[in-house]
Amino acid sequence: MSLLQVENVAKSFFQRGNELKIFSDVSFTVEPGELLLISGRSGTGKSTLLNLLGGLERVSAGRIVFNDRVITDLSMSELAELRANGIGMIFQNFNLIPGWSALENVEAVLMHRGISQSERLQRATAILTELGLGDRLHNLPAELSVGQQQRVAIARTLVNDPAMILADEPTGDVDPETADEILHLLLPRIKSGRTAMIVASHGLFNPALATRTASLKDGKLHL
Amino acid sequence: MSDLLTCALRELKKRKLRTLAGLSGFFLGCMLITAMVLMLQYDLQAKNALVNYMGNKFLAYAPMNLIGAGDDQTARPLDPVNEGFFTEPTVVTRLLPANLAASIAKIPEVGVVTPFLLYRFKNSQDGHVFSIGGIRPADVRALQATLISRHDIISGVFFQQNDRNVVIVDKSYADMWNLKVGSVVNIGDTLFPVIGIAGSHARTARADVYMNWPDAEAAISRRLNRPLNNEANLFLIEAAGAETVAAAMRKVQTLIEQGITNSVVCSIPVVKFMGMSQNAVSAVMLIVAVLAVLFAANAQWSAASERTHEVAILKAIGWRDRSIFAQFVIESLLISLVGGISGAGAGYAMFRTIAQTLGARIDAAYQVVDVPTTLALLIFATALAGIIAGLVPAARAAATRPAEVLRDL
Repeated sequence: MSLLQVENVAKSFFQRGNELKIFSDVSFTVEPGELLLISGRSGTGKSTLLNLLGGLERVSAGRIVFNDRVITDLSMSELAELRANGIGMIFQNFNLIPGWSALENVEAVLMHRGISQSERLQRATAILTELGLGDRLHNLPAELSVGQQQRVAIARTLVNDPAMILADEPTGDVDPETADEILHLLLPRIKSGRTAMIVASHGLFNPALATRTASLKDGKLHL
Repeated sequence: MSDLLTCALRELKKRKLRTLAGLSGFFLGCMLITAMVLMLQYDLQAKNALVNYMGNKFLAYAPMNLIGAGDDQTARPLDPVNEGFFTEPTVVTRLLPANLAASIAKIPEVGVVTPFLLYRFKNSQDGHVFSIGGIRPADVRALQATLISRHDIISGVFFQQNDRNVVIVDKSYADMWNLKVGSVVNIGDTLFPVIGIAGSHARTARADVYMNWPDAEAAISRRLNRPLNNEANLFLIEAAGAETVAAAMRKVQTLIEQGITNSVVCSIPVVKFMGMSQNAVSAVMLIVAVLAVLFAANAQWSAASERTHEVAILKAIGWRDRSIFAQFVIESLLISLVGGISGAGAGYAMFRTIAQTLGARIDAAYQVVDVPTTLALLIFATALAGIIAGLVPAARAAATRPAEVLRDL
């Protein structure tokens, strides 16, 4: 059984009563240790597809199975639990909470899960230190460089050791050097088979790093 | 729960201005309500005490129709010029069955009642006129509330139930005739030893000489055209409460043919005023409370709007709806609790300052106002208001759809 199975998934939005089809009949699988690059132009639905996989949105049709759980049947609360434990998300614009320090942003993932505050802080400190931000723990996002902000976002994703990472243009807003740094933080985990990653990118991500590529075009996923 | 508190405290510390705005609303609201509640309590208790002391007592009687019919059956004095059943100062009264007291006692607005025989006597030796009052010492509570009890005795003792042929005299009468405990009083050519002197303070009714009921009946009967037959000319009544005086007087009046009820002081306007001030203050308190809740709800609503992005991120990283909901409610609760506690303290200080400025005796206020309970109730109510104020914004925050918010960025 694959880590992720996407079966005939379709997504439409409704605007003023008109159906706007984003894509349909999307099917693919992802195995542990795999890096799937989904490319496509802006507006083709890459981010929407990642949102469906992360349970942030509901499919219009089809089925998604993650770790033997049909996540398209899960409640919002169960989906939230899934994101807290099994699926990590990295956003293009980092989506850090501006008023919270780097440490607090990472610690937030571990809250409301019965983990003591000392353990939370210890785990958040460890991952931030591992990513080279040991001396920036208490800085607010605005006090960090763009690359450092992205590293905080990655630390927030990795602190849970997720089985699957969904990354939306993870290197989109950073210079090539920082992009390299970020990828070097993520790739070892993927190659070790600890996690799988699905990257959505409109061309800024190096396809040579991916184990498989697909493109989203005209409402269909081409593998 | 500790996660919620940790996070709530972190949020409140970081958003100092908003927190301060929320705190100010609850602080001001709670301060004003606390001060008003304490002042109202003090005011009502003081008035109630005054009215209870003076104003919720009244007497009931039927005036003698001197020229009309209908009073044929009533006993008449043999010397109607100098003697007779009366109430102050000149109203001549009819006799009524003493057991009417039992019917009066059944009126819910009536607290206690006792029959009273008040008769004007002429001293056969020097011709001076004085009054005698026949009482039933067994009616301890009614007598204590309306007329005379052992607490009023300033010298000697009060009646025992079976005491006979002894009297208690009012101090003013005793002073006038130089009477002391052990002196004798001539009533209808019978001498009665004085066993007690009663203080001359304001009462529902007053006599110069008090006698046990059977002695009074016997002494008065000898001055009438027929003997008394368990009759009384006055009923001394204490209403169940200051607020029920008017209703009690009205109902008692209906039990007595051509009856009249008189209060010692005019308590009805006081009671009406108490009701008016209570209603006015209650209305103001309600308005202040509603404004405080709306203010806090508005602050929380703004916070929820301002933090939509933050909430969307938290949901995207795995926070559940109920965690988001609880987070907002806890923040609102913390603000209301801190604002409520400090506001209640400031309100209490305000109450003390106002009371002292107006010259009220704070010590007396302490005795009548239950400050700890009042403050505890107000703080509880404020916390409840905080929770209520946080519910709608919390529900709104919990309903945030992260995909939509994050897509819009």
